[in-house]
Amino acid sequence: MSDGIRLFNSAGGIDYDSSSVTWNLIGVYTAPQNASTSFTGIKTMTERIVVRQMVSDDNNTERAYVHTYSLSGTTLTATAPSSTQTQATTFQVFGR
Amino acid sequence: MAYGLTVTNDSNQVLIDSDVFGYHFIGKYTATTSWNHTYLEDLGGEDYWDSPNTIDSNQTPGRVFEYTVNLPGSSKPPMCFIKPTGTGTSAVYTSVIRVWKYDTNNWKVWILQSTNAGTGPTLYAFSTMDQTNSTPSDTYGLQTMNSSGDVTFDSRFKPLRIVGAANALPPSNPNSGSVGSGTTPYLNVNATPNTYTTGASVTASDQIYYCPSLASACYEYEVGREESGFHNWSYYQWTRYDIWWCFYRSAFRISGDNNFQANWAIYMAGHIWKAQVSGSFLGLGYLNGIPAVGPIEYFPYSDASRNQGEANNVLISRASYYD
Repeated sequence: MSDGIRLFNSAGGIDYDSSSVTWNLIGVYTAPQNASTSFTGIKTMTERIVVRQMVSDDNNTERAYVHTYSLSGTTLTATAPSSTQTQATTFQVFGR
Repeated sequence: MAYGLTVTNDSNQVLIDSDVFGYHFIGKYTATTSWNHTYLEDLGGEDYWDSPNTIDSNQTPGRVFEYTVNLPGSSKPPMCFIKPTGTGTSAVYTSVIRVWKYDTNNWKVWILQSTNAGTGPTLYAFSTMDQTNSTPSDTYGLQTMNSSGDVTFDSRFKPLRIVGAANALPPSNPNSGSVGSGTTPYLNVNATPNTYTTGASVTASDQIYYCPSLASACYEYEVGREESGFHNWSYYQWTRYDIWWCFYRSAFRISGDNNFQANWAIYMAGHIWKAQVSGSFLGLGYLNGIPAVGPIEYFPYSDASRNQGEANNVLISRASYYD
């Protein structure tokens, strides 16, 4: 490694090594079911990606819509495709 | 940043930022229970045909595995990476299909695997530090906090290290071509998987992946039969109507050291049928489809899909980082 950071534990093992890390978490945001919303203040980085996960204790999750989204600047906009069948959706934004 | 710690590399990519909550390893989990989802119902009527009354081999559902992840915080669900039972282009497909807060200290996670094999994948769970109560014993390492004093990074909890990523989408349909013939449905997945390059470039068997299932689809096949003739000196007419269906979720597999595939798996398979007999000379014709079947809430009968065009990013890490 020429640049970066390695963090060792007391046993000498590596707990973190930046040479093998490609994406880092910027933030986690949850859009409520059946409603659209926006999240602001999201860090900008050279590249960002978003992973979505539907969250629900409702058995009907299997047939649900997920929020669509757009990420522009510091704002993540989550849109509910249906006002009755859109599950709560967690957005995990990663950047590098 | 007015204060705090930011670590970047020579490409100006951010490695650690004390302003944001990083994900950390909270444990490895095996399934607590599992089941095979099928539904059969005879909706009644005198049956001239007494078969088929089963789930067909051409609509074979996978297996759902349930995990309980200990995580006291309630605002952010755990990030659940899958360590599949196998890798390669013949491996089973798996995906996280449901996550919810179960009780004060636990989340439930369902993983669908495309075959009915009893051995399920292993779950590697991660969480941000503000959701856990864990106290590490090690006194060495690096810890960062944000301006509120919340721990955002702690090397003692094995921070999540992502080694690859891709934007994955399952094929447009799980099943193409004929969906059935006679009393045989053809509802098994026959789609060709979409393949993506992850950039992980590490041994496939060491990889774990995170890519929750978003897409769902349903396909059904239905057939009506009619027969007539004399019985006990009376003329009868018999009809029977069958519907077979499969409910699919998108699912994934690590197909190589640097590749990932997206496809479908059958979450649930069902078969319902109804018969009717008439003793008159008046023709019944086919039953006009199967009528409403009561409290069956999430068994869609008609062809439908949800979120089919919604790609989801897949993240790749290594099991050996946390074992």
